[in-house]
Amino acid sequence: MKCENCTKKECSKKQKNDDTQSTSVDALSSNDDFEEKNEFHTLANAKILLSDCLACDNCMTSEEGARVFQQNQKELFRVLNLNKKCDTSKHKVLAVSICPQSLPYFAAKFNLSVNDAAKRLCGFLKSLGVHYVFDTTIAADFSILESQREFVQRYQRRNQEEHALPMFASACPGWIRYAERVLTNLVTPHICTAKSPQQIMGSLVKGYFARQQNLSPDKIFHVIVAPCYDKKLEALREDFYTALYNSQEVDCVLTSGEIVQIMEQKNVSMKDVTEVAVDSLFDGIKEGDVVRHDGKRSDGYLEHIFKHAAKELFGMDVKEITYKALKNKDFQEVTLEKDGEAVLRFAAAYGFRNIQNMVLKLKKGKFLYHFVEVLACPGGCLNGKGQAQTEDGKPDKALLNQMEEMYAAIPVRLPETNMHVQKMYQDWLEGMDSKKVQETLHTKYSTVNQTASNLDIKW
Amino acid sequence: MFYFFILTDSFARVGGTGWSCRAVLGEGHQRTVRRVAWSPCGSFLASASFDATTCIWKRQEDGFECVTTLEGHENEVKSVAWAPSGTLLATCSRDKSVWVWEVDEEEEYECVSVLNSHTQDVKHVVWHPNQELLASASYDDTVKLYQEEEDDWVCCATLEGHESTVWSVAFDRSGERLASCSDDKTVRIWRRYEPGNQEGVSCSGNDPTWKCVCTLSGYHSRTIYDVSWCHLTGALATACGDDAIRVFEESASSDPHQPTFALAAHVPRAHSQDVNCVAWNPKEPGLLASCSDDGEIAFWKYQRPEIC
Repeated sequence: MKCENCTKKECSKKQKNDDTQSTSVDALSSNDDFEEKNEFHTLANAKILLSDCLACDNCMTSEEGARVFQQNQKELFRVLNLNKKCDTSKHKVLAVSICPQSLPYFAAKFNLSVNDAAKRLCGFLKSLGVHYVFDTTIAADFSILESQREFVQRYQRRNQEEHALPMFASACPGWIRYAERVLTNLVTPHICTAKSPQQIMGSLVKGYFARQQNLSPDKIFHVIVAPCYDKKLEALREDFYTALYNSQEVDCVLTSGEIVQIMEQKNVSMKDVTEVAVDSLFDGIKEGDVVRHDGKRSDGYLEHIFKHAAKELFGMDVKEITYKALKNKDFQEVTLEKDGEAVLRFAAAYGFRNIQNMVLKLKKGKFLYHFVEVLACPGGCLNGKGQAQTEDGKPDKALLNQMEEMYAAIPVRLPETNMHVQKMYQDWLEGMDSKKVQETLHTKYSTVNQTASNLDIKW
Repeated sequence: MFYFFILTDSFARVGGTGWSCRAVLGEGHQRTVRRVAWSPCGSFLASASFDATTCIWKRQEDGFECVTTLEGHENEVKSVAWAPSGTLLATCSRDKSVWVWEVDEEEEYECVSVLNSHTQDVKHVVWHPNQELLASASYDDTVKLYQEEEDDWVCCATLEGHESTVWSVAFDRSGERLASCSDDKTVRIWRRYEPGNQEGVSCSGNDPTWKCVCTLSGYHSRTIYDVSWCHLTGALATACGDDAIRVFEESASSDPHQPTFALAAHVPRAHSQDVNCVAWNPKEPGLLASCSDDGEIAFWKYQRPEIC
């Protein structure tokens, strides 16, 4: 007699309530430390909302899931509390780096200008005990500059090397993990090797900044405030770990929403917080007004690489970029025409369905684009699940519109014009073409072979 | 009034006469083929497989040719269905998602939406007979409905009530009602109510609500794997894990908002193992096909009994 639910004798339906793996990881509270629990008890209902790219079981192991879950507010308070105790050997310097797409969220949520939101957020974090608050735009500068150069090099090698083009953007961890685990060799050789802004910020804080301050990397606890949960998975990447110091370059990622939760629990209103200028990586210098990169919803790789390539490869100065939306608003095309001919074709593909279509075209050999900016979340990073959702888990369109407006209002600064970046290339990185640049600013992609162990058939 | 009829001469098994195997499509899939579906125009056949792909076969002079393979599902594809327009296709999988695909005049397929509403394995997808509305049945005990909104598809309704896996769903001819069958051994009939309806069924916003208006319980002794609603006669056929096929008919005096269905025919040993699928012939009233774990496909001729 067979089980009613499937054709197996042993019914997995009976264990139905123990869900194996889903996109929402429920709280485990067995190792609660009393103090942290007091500081932050809303954690009982915490959920991790990963992007659609990470939705299936192939993409994240349960060990990774546990380490992703561990990056929560409690972890931050654990470090803050240790700093209050007498044992100085356990003290750490707390540095928090804020992603450019998180600031419009705080601004929109509290009805502040982006500049005010940045300063108040800094004030709030410092009032908790954080020592340094940074803006990750400088890391994005490096990432964009490296990506631009890499594109031009790939374009120049396109006839010699099979995998030179198309090039895919590398900043989105959901997309990267999906590419590594599921798409594998079809896609990974095409991914730009420049590290994402988050990863570069890790190197800047634990490498450059640590050295300037005479600190060993393990003495700094580096937190990143990001718009999504996928970034927590990115923090676990092996090449962001220094065995010498047993130190991860990014120790903990908290979403914008998780920071707001801390404020709510402490009954703090942004309006009451004192404004404190945001720090920079350079001694004694504070950050000025918030600046951003080109582009509407992402870090701006498409825009910057397009303009750079147009200039370097075709001698053309592009001022305005015209987007052409295809099937849906998350799949857009940008073309450079010279003498009536299309010489560069770029695209932006956001969201799982558009990634699927892109892969289908790649498999058929009908791929038209030289570069694609790929993001796991429709609507781009501003729409990350760590900030753009309503109470019942639906996308908050009104908030997204507001964030887009605020982001658009921030002045644009080209990475090339950042003097600090130029200086760091010379001093810290030993020149733009050095080995150190490759080691510090570039990464590799792994393709782990998945064994299909589907011996149990579920009808 | 409770009716229980077993009229074997209303329900005769048609022999293998007139049916011959015309083609064997062996080159497409690496694992179990779980479901097949004809396109509305009849020129294409879609096959959903445990190898995580869906093949599209085009009918040729001398057989069938695989013209496209739809990939992307993470694991076993459980079902595939064509929309009545012929330009949309839906697939569902153990990966908990439902995918909507679009095919253009050049026979190019593109993924239009990936819907992650279910929390478990999705067993079946079926399209509304004349609207672009999609229904799915899942191991999570629910039926979900989806429609297009702006440039994407969204889940617009969740039908809760079954106490176990929902294996299949079927719309009636009008599309105003849906039948679902489950591992909980019941068939449920759901009816669509528009906002502002006279029966006082509450709706949220501008979306219609689907309410369970009838539950057929006590008839099946095992999981019901499939249900088929005849668009010609309104008869409802079920495929059951107790090896039987049953046909239900709506009573003549049935109240549309509280319909009553009676068991019109019951063949206890239709097959020698679980009956997995039943399908009414869309053109010939009373002609039913069934298939089973016993490896056989059977054809049946059903006639509605006088007293029903």
